[in-house]
Amino acid sequence: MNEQTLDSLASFNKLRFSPEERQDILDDFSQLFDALEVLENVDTTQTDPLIQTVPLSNIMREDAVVRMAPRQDILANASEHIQGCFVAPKVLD
Amino acid sequence: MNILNTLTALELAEKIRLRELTALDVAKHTLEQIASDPCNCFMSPSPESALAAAAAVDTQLESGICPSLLAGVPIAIDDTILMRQERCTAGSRMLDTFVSPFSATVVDKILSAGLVPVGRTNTDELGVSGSGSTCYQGPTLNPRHPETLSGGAAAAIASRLVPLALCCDSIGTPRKFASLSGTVFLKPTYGSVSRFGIVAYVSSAEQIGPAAATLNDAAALFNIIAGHDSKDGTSLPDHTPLTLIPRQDLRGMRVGVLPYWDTLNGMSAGSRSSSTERFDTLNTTINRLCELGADICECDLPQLDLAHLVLRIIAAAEGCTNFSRFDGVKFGHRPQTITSLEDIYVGSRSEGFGLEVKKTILLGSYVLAQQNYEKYYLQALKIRRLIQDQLTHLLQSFDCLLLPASSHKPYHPDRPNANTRLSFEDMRYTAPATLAGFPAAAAPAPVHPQHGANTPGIQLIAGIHGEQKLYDVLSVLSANPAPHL
Repeated sequence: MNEQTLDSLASFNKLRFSPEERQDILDDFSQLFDALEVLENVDTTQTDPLIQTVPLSNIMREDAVVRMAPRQDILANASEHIQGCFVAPKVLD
Repeated sequence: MNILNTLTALELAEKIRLRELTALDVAKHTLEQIASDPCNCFMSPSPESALAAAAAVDTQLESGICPSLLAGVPIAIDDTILMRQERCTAGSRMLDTFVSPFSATVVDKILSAGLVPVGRTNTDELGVSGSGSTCYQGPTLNPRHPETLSGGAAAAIASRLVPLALCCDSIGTPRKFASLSGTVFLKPTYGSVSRFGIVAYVSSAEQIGPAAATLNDAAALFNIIAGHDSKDGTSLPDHTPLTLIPRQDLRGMRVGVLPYWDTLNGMSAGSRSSSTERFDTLNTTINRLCELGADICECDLPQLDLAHLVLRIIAAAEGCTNFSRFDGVKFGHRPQTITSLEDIYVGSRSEGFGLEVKKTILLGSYVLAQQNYEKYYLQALKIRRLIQDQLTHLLQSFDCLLLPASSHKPYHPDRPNANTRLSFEDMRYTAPATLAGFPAAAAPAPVHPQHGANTPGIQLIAGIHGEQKLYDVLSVLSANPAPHL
């Protein structure tokens, strides 16, 4: 991973780093991607990916409204809320 | 030492049931101990709710109602598991002020069973890293070796602060720290314990499991928390409770030994002593298994050395997705100065997350990117299939597989980078069961405590719903320890 890729990923993931963190990430990933090269040598041409480890499929439940938590308890964790809604800065002028 | 600190959870529950002790007195004693905890096991004790829960259990017992075999016993809860009206930080500054509006299903179950949650235990930030050093409130020290690190739950049990804990096993960290602290942790079959109400990291692999000082205590707690939950789409429909009756011996049982001896080759001098110790532990365990009647055979798992690499990719991909919910708008840390929505997102995530979480997010989005997807993520999922197939094949011939739970190298408080690298290497031992979704238990080696107090623990893996087999083997081993290594 080079600096340009790191900048792109940081922007995409809404993250910024100190110079020390940047260097740490680049060093760490350099070692990691070297180690990961070995995975390419495994023949998986006849293998399906494993996404679900246990034999379950199409798990459905009743389409019913279930009260999960009081609205005020959920809103209490937001830094700003007004009239039962979360508050964020304007995105349109 | 106070007698309360020497009782197992089941013994304690019996004394409470027989009214020789009250749940309230036990809870008060536990809270006093937590207040003077030197190892930083707890993020936040819960004195008010603990005392209220204990008093409620006493009232039930006085009126002749016994909610469960563990009623009245104090229990610690990992800080990644939500409990209504309790602060839950998951070890992250991001959630420093978060108070959960609902409880995880496992918390509802233990409350219904009359257990008494006394506090939230320390955890690596959002379960990432597994090094014991990334919690924003500082690390937990291992009571066995206070110059080294541990996980909050394992240390709380090893210190005898609490007899029981619930932990979330995402990448094998609770098994590793149980092994390093001489305690028991059971990672159940994926889907057998509800994951509803955890701070999610590796959704396709993580499981909540019981931590305890003894196997019987862990098994009794597993029986309380296991079972179907309609709130969790990955919850398995069937569940058979464990039978807590130890076998006399292991005749008729077959145990496979995975080839971790190979990892002894090429060890540096500094790590040789821990490796030798681990080697001796495995040899002693194998000898004991043979003496107790089990058939032992070495077995091979061709992709064994790749498991930790595969788990690193999958964990990063799922973690990156799960952690995208932290945006500073609905909950979580928000920076002081903001002028735009972008400021909230970037400020919240950059200030709220520690470096290891940021690395996980970056790696996850890198391996999921269109140009890298097939090379890394898809290939990891395919090798995951190979590992599960190979383990399934082995477990058709064996009741369970024996391996270490860690390299037994110590984690030091002042070496965060080294700890992170070591944690990645230690995932070699825990990743196979994690990736396959199979149950695995870490437990003390079968060595008499008088001679093996610092002996590294062992790990057993069984097939889907194979918790009873793990119990059967470990219960015989723990009842028949070898006199020395």
